[in-house]
Amino acid sequence: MADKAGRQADAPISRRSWPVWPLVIFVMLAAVSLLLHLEKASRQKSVLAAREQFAALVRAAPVEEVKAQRGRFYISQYYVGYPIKNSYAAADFVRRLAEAAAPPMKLLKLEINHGLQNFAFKLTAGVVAGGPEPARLLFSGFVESLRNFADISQASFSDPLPATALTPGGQRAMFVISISGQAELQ
Amino acid sequence: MKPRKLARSFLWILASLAILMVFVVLDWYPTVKELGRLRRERGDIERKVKNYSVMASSFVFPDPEENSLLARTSAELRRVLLQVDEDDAWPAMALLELQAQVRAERIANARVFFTFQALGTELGTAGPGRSAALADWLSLQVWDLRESFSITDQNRYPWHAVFSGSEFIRQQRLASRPLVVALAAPLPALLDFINHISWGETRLEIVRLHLEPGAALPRAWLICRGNYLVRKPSAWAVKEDSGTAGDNLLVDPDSPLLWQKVVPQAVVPAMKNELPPMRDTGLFIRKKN
Repeated sequence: MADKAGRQADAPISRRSWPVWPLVIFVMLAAVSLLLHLEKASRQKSVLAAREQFAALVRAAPVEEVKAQRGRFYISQYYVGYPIKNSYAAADFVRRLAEAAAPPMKLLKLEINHGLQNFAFKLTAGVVAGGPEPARLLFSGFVESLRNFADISQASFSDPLPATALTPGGQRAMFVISISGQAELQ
Repeated sequence: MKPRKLARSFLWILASLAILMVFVVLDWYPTVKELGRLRRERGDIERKVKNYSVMASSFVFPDPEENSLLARTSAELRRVLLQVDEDDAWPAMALLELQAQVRAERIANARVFFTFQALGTELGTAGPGRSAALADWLSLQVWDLRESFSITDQNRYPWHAVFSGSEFIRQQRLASRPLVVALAAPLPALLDFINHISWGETRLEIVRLHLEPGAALPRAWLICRGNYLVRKPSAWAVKEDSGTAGDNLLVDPDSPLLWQKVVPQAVVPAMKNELPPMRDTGLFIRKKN
């Protein structure tokens, strides 16, 4: 028994004491890595080729460039015509409002804020009446005529409110209505 | 002996697993992720190529006539912009124009001012001192006027899309400044004035209009904006990055209009039109010619 143990201790360390399989596993892992990197390089190449193809297509048929040029042409034309269109729209809007506000109604105040393609308005009209109901009746014609304004895209109306105290003799007061909305530049 | 061997085997397995993990975490996972991204990118580009080819086949490319029309856009813009040497020249020109217009419309009381603080210049056919009522009325409008001036500051310049990329903007400065015109006149004269205010070389754009037509003599104030090119450094120069702060003019890139050739006849230029005669509602004093 002791002799056997002594022989084992004296024996040289064989190569088989370092197993081969870890090396095999390492080589396999490295091979998988290599394959993955090869595939990555190939895909990068194909992406570059596709990009180049797209760039060549854009160079050959510059759609976006032409669209940008046409866009610039249209907005330039719009800019050139804007001041005249804008001032006419404001003046004509006031003219039509003034015509719609027939006596006994009175257009008291109007404010117009111009945008590039439309304008916001806020107006106050007044009428002398015996109470809110007669005032509402008088205003209804005016409001109805505003519905015929083709350029008004939205509008909101307030209820008639008394703006002054009743007159001593006639029991009549000034009622006002506020209208705000938006109109298109035509 | 046996437990030692077992422990050694266990250690080998652990070491192998560790190496595998190192490969997976440091190399395989990022590479597989990158492969997925590249596949998606290639798919996107191929789709873009396909769509672009379809689009280009139905797109109408410009002919020489359209090319020349598009090339003239910048020159046309430059032509309509007033060009001055320095800032001070612009108010002088605007004032001259407004003075002529006030005389033509026979407006008795008018006042023009270029900054909120200044009292302004009296215009009108009534002579100096006659527009005290107008000045009194304006003093009541002080808050509205102050707020309106702020609308027109250069940080809210709305025409960036028009001038961006124009060659002449690099050589000269684009400037924009406000002015206020206040006037009192019979309504037809007042409306004619408003309509004609943009007809001059200064091409004034109305930004805000405040009108009181129900007063004994209708009165109004208008905030206008004027754009011009100035050679010397300008205090009113438009800031290049101010386009996002205000209203802006946008073109829909998908608009079918951009796919077709621009036909010059289809672009109707804005015409200077007189207002139709005003129907007499009995409320307003007619303009006497």
